[in-house]
Amino acid sequence: MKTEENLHKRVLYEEMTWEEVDEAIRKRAIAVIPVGILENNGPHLPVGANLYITEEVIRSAAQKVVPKVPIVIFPTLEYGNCTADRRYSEIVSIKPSVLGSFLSNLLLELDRKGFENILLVKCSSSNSYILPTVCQVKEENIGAEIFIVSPWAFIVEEREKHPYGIITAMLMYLKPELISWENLTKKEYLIRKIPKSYFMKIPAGEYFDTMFSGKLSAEGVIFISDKQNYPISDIREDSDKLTAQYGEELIKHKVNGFAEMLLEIYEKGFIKNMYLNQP
Amino acid sequence: MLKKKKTLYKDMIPKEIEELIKKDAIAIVPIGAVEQHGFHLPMGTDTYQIEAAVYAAAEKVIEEIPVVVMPTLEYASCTSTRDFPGAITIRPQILISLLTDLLHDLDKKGVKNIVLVNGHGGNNYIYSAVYEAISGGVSAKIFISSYFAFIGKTIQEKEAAEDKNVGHACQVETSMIMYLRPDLIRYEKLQKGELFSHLASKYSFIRDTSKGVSFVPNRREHMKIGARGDSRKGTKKRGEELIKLNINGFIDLLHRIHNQK
Repeated sequence: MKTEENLHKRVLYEEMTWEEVDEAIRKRAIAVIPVGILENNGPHLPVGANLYITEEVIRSAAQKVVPKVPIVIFPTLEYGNCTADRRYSEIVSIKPSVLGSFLSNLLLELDRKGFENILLVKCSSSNSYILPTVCQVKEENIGAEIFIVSPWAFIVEEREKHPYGIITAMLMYLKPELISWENLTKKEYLIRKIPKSYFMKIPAGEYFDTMFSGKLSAEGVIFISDKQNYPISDIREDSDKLTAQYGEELIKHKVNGFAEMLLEIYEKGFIKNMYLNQP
Repeated sequence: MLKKKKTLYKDMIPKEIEELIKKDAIAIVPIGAVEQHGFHLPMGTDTYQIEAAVYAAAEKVIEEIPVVVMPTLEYASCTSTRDFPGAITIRPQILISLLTDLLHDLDKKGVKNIVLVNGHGGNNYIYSAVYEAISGGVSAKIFISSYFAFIGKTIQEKEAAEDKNVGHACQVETSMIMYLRPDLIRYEKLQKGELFSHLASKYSFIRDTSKGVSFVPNRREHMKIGARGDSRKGTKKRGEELIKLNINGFIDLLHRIHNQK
């Protein structure tokens, strides 16, 4: 492929030269930052499962829209905060305050460089530091618009049907070699009844991130879970549905939705589907 | 066929990580950068160089020595080059907190040996993070190495002896990327990178490390193309030599750490 043709498809920041970055900024390129996590996704999945899924979706979507929509994909923030996993001896987790300072600095730096639109793509429901950090940065009168995309964007309905199985299915399609197939057994989802006394009321509208965040925060009650006491498996009783083909459908659906969203941000500067902004 | 052992932390299932920690695996943390490297090299040059050496060394020793390669810290401190488009700099204080927290967490998990491998000259914060971690009670042994550790001597004898301007995105780094990622070299833009001579002499007046005087310059003001050295002299063959030296150096280091009593 000729260099010039190649350049149109070059979207990874780390692969670009500084001249190309300068040019991309002048063309109002959208800066996309995958915000990752290393977490326990069940005994059969690698701790970086969500990183692979998110990176694949972003890169494929970008290839669909460049050069019409200039895109720059930044290196993934692979370390995250995983409070629910904190008692697992194998899961590395960084404090939210540290990650918040880091992300804040990065956003201000991209603003200083001249990026007008920054898209933070959450790789997982964890990482509750993201939203408060963005609010804090906006208080500092940052010029760039900042968007946060949920890991479940574009597949919300499928996630409701198979809350924990879709990660397995998507990885079956993307990285089957990383799945520990002998640990992929049909299991009942195990959850102990949580005593009500553990619940803590939180101010309405405040955002917390736990494995139950969606349901409980809507009720204004939160419980910071500990997955070791309330173990999850990525496989539920519907594991028959989990196939590489299903995973491929999910990924393609996400890629198409993501590509459409990038176009919308570039052309209009906003996202019409409100659920994208929900954590 | 026997399944190849994994070396990357993010590829492992929880049980594999747990077993490695029990076997006193050495945790390796590569530290890179996104920084301008002239008109011809990619922003991720430092990261590519360090990951190539560390990944290959880990794969070579994994059957004998338990190792786990943690995700690379790709964002760095680029204080002197911060005004180049593309050079992303994070404040040293924040990087110190991040690395210190990671060291604490690895220590808490039971990791006994940690190797930090720096791929970027501006990452001076690493020592501060290690001091913070040790002062804060981390008992794991922490080793610091760099991309320069095993190739510094040969570069001094060859490239630096021939051209005192060798420094950044020069023949050395160009050679290594020619070997690792030839698809990312902008060959039509290979050229000699120089400092603005009048500014360089001005700075040399106040910067004299031999007399204990230092000065952190703004390289945007006196580095014309974001490179220093002659990239036209880079060769794939030399890149291969340097990368292999680095790989062998890291293999030796891992053996020495593993065999320590």
